[in-house]
Amino acid sequence: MSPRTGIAQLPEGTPHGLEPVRTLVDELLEDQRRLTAVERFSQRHADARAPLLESHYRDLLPLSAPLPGEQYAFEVDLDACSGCKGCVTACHSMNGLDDNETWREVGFIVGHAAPKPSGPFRPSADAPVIPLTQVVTTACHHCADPGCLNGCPVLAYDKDPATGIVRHLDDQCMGCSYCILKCPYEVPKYSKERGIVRKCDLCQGRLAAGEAPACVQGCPNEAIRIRRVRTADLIATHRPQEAATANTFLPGSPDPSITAPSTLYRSRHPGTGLRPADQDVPRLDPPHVPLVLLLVLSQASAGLALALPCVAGFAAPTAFRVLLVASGVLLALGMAASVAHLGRPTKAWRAFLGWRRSWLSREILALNLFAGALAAAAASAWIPAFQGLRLPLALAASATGLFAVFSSAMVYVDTRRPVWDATRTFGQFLGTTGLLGATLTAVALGWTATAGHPELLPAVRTAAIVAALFRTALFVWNRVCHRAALADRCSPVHANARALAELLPAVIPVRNGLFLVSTVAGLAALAGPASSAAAWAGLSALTTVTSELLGRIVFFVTGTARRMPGGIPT
Amino acid sequence: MTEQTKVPASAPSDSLLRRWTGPQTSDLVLSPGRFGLGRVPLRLEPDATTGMVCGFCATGCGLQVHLRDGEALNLSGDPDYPVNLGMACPKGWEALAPLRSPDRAVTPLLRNPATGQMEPVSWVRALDEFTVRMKTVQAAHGPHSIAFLSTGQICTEEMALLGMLFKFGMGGLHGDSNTRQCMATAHVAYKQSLGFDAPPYTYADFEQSDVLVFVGANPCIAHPILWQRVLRNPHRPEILVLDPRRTETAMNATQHLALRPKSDLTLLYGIAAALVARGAVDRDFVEAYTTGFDGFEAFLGAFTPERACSESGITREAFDRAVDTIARGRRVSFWWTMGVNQGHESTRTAQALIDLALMTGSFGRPGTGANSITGQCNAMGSRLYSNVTSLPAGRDFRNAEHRAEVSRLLGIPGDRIPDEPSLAYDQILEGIEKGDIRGLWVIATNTAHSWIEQDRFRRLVGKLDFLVVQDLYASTDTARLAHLVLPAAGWGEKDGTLINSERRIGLVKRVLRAPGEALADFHIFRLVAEAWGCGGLFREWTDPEAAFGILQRLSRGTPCDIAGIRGYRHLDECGGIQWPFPETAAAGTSDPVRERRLFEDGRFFTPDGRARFLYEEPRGVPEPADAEYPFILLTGRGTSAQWHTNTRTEKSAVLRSLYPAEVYCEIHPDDAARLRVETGTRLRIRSRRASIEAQAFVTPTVQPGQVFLPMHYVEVNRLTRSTFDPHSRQPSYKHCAVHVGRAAG
Repeated sequence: MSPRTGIAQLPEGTPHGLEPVRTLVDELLEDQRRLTAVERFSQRHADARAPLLESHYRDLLPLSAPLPGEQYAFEVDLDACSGCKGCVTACHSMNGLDDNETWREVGFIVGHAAPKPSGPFRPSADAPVIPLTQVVTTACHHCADPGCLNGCPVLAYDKDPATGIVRHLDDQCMGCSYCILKCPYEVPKYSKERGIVRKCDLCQGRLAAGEAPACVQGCPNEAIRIRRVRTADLIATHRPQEAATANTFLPGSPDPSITAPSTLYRSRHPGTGLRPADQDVPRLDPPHVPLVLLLVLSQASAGLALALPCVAGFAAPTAFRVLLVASGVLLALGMAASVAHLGRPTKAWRAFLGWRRSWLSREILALNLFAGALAAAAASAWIPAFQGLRLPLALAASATGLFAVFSSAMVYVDTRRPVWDATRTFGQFLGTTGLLGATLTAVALGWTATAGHPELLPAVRTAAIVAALFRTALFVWNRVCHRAALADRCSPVHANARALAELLPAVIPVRNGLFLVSTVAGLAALAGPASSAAAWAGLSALTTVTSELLGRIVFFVTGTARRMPGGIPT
Repeated sequence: MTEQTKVPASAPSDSLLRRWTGPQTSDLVLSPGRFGLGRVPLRLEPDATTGMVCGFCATGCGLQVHLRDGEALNLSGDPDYPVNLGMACPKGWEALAPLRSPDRAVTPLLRNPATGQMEPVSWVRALDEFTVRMKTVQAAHGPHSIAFLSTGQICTEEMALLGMLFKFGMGGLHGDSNTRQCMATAHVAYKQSLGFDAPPYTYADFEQSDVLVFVGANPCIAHPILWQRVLRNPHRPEILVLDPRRTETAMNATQHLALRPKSDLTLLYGIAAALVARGAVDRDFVEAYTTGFDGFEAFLGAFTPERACSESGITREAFDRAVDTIARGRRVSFWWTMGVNQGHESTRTAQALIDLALMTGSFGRPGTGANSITGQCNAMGSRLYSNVTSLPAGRDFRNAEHRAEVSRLLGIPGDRIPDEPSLAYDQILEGIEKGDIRGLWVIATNTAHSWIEQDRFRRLVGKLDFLVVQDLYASTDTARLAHLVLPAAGWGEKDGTLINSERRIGLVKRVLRAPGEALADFHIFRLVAEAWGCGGLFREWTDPEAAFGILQRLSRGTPCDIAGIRGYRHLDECGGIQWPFPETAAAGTSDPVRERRLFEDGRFFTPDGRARFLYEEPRGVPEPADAEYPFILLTGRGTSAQWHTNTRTEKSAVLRSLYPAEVYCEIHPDDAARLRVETGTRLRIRSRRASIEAQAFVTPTVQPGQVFLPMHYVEVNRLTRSTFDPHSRQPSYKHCAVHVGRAAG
C-alpha cells in the first residue's frame, strides 16, 4: 500500500468551503430514508383476486383430488430441468423459511448415457453414447411407508389419509433428529435455533386451495408437476427385488424399497452408466456427543448389571451394592447426557407414544425399565425385607439392561444404513457392553477387595480375564472389518471405511495405542505386585473407556449412507 | 383444479398428547394472498406490491416486490412482465438477501496511514479526502493521471452522471467499466457491422425460430429465464450448440458441436463457406441491404469443410448436418455470449455470426438475428450512456459536431468535452503500471477478483497514490486494498433504470432503506461534484428521474431515441420499454408494442444504410498447450446461484447452499485416470502466471486435455493470461495453458 502523498502538504479542509457539502450530505441522507414506491407508482394488482400465475401451473396439477387409496406425489421431468435451482429458492421464499433453511435440494448425476428419442426436443443422433450431467431436484418424497413417521418417538409425523402428504407437527417435535437418520433421503432439516426439524409439506395449504406448490410455481421449465398415484402401487413398484434389479427410482439413490418414495423421476436417459456426482466421496456426519455418552455409559451400565447375578449370592452385600451403585450412576449419567441431544427436551415426556413402531421410543422405554429394575435391585440390596429377592431382581436388571442395549442397537439397525447393519451394530454394542461391564466390574470389585473384602479377588481376576478377552476380540474384529471394507471397492461400507482412513487418519493409530496400553496395563494389574495393581487397573479401565468413547464417535461420524445425489463435493 | 377437487387439509384438534398447532406451526401458516400472489407466508403478508427489474444479469426479469409500510418483505417473479412471465432464477429470488447482509459498509472508511487500518469517517471528511487527494494527484501528474473503473451493475442515470462528472467536471479522461470484460466485443462488432451498437432482437425471437444456434453460450445456467423462453418455442426447433464443453445447454440441444477451444472463428467461416457452396445465400437480401459480400465470398474460399473440421475437431457428419440445418432453416437465429466475447479474436468471431445472419437474410424477421446475449443487468446502459468510449447515445468524442451537440444539450462548456475517448480497462491498468495514472476510483466492481491475470493487478495497486472503492461492502477483494471506501446503496435501495439484452429499459425502485450512511451512487456522484467544486455544471441532475429526462433529450434523433417515454411511471406501466421509442412512435398510440425487433425495414445504421461484412484471417491462440503446460484451461460460469465475483451472491445462505464452497476443477475421466485422481482429490493447477489448488470433479462433460474452472472463485483469475482482442480490448478468459497434477500432501 502506498503511503499518503501530497496530502501532508495541504492544510486540513478543502479551500472551497465545506458548508454546502455538509448541507447536501444531510439532505441526501434524509432522502435515502424515504420509501415512496407505493405513492409514486400505480398498484397494478391491487384488486387481483385469483393468483396471476394460475395459467402457468394449471396443467401441472391433477384434474381432481386423490381418490381413496391415492395420494399426491411430485413428478420431475429430468430432461426439462435445466439446473437453474429456482425451485429451491421459490420454496424458500414462498414458504417463508428461515435464512439458512431449504426444503428442496439440487444435486446431479453424471456419466454416459444413450438417449431415447423423446423429450422436448429430438436428441442428438451423431453420438450413440453421450456424456451427461443430469440435475436432480429433490424434496420430501411423501413416501408410502415413511421412515420419518415410523421412527418418530413422539408421533410428530402424520400421513394425511386424504392426500398422502407426510406432515410434520412442528409443535409436537422434541428435536431428537431421529427422523433424519430414518429418512434414507435425509429430508427433515434440523434447526438449531428452533430446536426442531421441519420439512416439505407439499405446500398442502396451497394444494387445498387449488394452487400449485411453490416449487411447481417457481420452475421456469415446468419440470415439476403434481400427480395422483395409488399408494399401494408405490409399494409394489419399489419391492426389494424390483428395486435391486431395475432403476425404479433414480440411479445411485438410496434403496427405494425401504420407504417406497412417491416422487417419479422421468428421463429419456436410461439409468445405467450414471452415478451421483458425490458418490463414494468420503464424508463425515456429526458426532452426536450426547448420544455417544448415552450409548457408552448405558452399555457400561448394562454390562455391570450382567455381573449382578454373579455376586448376588455373596454373603456380604458390599460387592452387590458397589456394582449396583456403579451401574445406576452410569445409567443416570448416560440418560442425563442424552437429554442434551434434544432440541426441545420439555416435550420428551411424550416419547413413549411411538412405541408401536419406533425403536427410539422402545429404547427410551427400555432404558427406563432398566432404571426401574436397578432401583428394585437396590431395594433388595439395602432393605432387609427384600433381601430374598436379590437374585431374581438382579436377573431382572441384567435382562432389562440387555434389552436396553438391544433396543439401542435396533434404533440404528432400523435406519437400514449398511454401515449400521445388525452384525456391525450388535457386535459393537454388545462388545462394548461386555468389555466395559467386565472392565468396570474388575475395577469396582478390585477396589472393594482392597477395602476389606479379599474374598472377592478371584472374581476380580475372572472379570479382568473376561475384559481382556472381549477387548481383544472386539479389537481384532474391528480391524478385520475395516480392512475388508477398505479393500473392497464394491463393499456397501467402502465409503465409510475410506472416510475413517482418509478424513480421520489419526483415529486408528490412537485406538491401537489405547488397545495396547489397556491390554498391557490389564496384564500388569493381574500379574504384577499387589501394591501397584490398583494403579494399573485404573489405567487399563481409563484407556478402555476412552477407546470405547472414541469408537462410538467413529460410529456416528462415519455412519453416512447413500443419499440423494449431491453437488460437487468440496 | 375445480372447486370439488380441493381437499381441505384435515386438521384434527389438539390434545395433550398430540399438538397440531402452536407457535412453531403458525410460523409456516400461509395467508390467502392478495395482489394476485396466491398464498404467501402469513408472517410476510404484504400490504402492497410494486414491480421492478432484477439487478443481476441482463435478462432483466421483472420482480414483484412484496411491501409492508413501503418496505420490501419478500419478492416473487412478476407475472405481467414480458421478459420472465412470472419466473425468476435463484439470484432473483434472493435479490433482497445481499442487501440485508451484516457486512454492509455503513460509513465511509479511511485508511489510517499510521496503523494501516480502515477507520470510519464522516461523509464530509471522506469527500474532503477524496477531493484533496485526487486534485493533488492531478496537480502533480496532470489532469489525466486519475481514472475510474465502473460497472454494468449500477443504474443508467448513475453511469451517465459519473461519466459526465469525471470528464466534464473533474477534468479526467480515462474511465472504463467492467462491461469491457463482458460486452465490449458485442459493442464493437455491432457498431462496425451495423453502424450502431444495436442488438436487433427481442426475446420473442427465442420462441419464433426454427433453428437456434448458440455459440459460446450456456443460457441454462447463465440466463435460465431465457432458456425458459426457448422451451416455449412451439416449432420443435433445431438447437445447435457450439461449445467445447457439454454444458447444460449442449445437453438440451439437438446438435452439440464440441469444437476445440477457440477454433470457433475457423468453424464459423467453414460453415459460411459451405452455405455459399450449397447456394444457401439469400442473394436478394445481400444485394438489397448489405455491402462487402463479394469480398467475403472470395475470402471464404480458403475455408473448406476439411479445414474447418480438422481445426475444430468436429466430425464431417456433424459439420454437414449443422450446415444443412442452417441452410434449411427458415427462421434462423444466432446467439452468443462470453464464449465468443472473451476471446483473442472475439470481434471478428462475433462478426462472423453477424455475417452468417446477413448472408442467410436472417435479420429483421421474427425468430432471426445475430444476437448478443448480454451479461450484466445494465451492460447496455453502460454501452450507451457511460460517456467512456463514446459520448452519450452512441456519439463520437472525435466528432466535433457530436461534441457540440452534447455541449448544447447539456449546457456544458464545449471546452470541457474531451476530443478523444478513454483508454480501455487494460490500458488504464498499463497506465498505472507505468506510473502515468496515480489515482483510481473503482465503482461497484471487483477488479482484484475479476481482472485477468489477477496477481498483476494486485501488484500494480501498490503504485497508486490513491485508491477509492465505492461499493456495498468494504469486504470485497478490491475494497480491502483501498485507501478510501465509500458506502453505496444497492439495487432496491435507489431509483433508476437498467437496460437489458433486448434493449428494454426497466425500472429499479427504492424499496429498502440503505443501512447506516450508505448512499445511492447517484447521490455520491452529486456529492463529489459539490465537493469538487463543479456542482454548478450538474444543477439539473437533481434526482434519477430528472437525469433520465436528460438522457432522453440526449437520445433524440439517435438510433436509441427514447424521447417518447413519459417518465418512470410510463416505464412501470408498460413493463419496461425497448429502445428505440421516439416521440413520433409515441404520438397517437398510448403504449409501445411489448416485443419489438430492429431492422424490419432492412435499413441499418451505417451512413449508407447497409450492413457490412467484416472478416479477417483467424490467428492462432497466443498460448497453446505444450509439453510443460499440456492442458487448456477454460473458465466460465459455475452455477446459476453465483454472480460474477460472488460479492453479493455469497451473502445469501440459500444461494451458498446451491454451489460448492470451494473452487473445483472439472476434468475428463481419461485425464483423471492418467493422473490417478478422482472426484474430491486436491489438484494443483499451474500456469505461467501462478499456481492454485482446486478439488477435482471428474466428469465426461469436459474434453480430454481441457479443464474447466468456474470464475466465481477468487483464485481462478490468477491463472488466466493477459490477452486482448485488438478491436474491443476485451480480455480472453477462455483460453490459456496450464499444468494439472495432484496437490502435494
